[in-house]
Amino acid sequence: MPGKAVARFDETIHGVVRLRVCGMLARLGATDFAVIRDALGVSDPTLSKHLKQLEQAGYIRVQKGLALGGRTKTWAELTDAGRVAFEGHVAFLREVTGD
Amino acid sequence: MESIYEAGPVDRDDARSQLELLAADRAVSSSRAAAPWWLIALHGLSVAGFVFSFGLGRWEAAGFAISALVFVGLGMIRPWITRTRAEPWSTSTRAVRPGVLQFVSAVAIIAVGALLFKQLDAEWVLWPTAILACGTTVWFGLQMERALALDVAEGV
Repeated sequence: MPGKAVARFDETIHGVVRLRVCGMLARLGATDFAVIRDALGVSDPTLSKHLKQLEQAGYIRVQKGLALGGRTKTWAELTDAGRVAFEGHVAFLREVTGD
Repeated sequence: MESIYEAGPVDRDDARSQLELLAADRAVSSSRAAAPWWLIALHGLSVAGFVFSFGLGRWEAAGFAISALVFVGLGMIRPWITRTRAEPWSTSTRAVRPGVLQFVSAVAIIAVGALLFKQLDAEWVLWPTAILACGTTVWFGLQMERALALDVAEGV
């Protein structure tokens, strides 16, 4: 619950793209790579780079699966640690703004 | 209080602009989360198919099985269509009420319709039952999608 999160600055989530990725995944659960890319208006390599950083921090899981037509689909999902870190970071931002 | 944060890793303007970005993304996310209307309509038609199965005689069981499989299958392909795993039952607390009402009303309509069909042995009974059950499923299904979109829009 965002209201109960402990406010904590998180260096990994602090980047705008990574913050927005975490926001989308927190709201939607596992989400298709293309949906995140289109919503954020970033290129494939840019999003891949940020997803890798979040994955290395243990904040997201990236899964690949087959889609219609034999193409590969990539899905990203927030982990429990990622959700805690994201909600803590948002709580931190709210404290800073005084909201 | 202010000086602590001004000296920290994020100043007030940065923090505000990041929160505004998240707020703008919520609107995009809420439109992504809801299933398209035609998926809800197909759910309604699968319920109508279940009702008409009562009139299939010896093929009744096959009709029930096929319409139930279609209903469940439509739920399973939802992530392929919306391309997210957000769905009313697990993602939205607001969607629970219309979800329960959908289930209870559809079961009640089908039960009464099936009983009347068996008692009167009149096939026409299945038509109003199917229309009512389908309409109820679609109506509450759309309410559930609206509730989901609202919960996503008001999330973190």
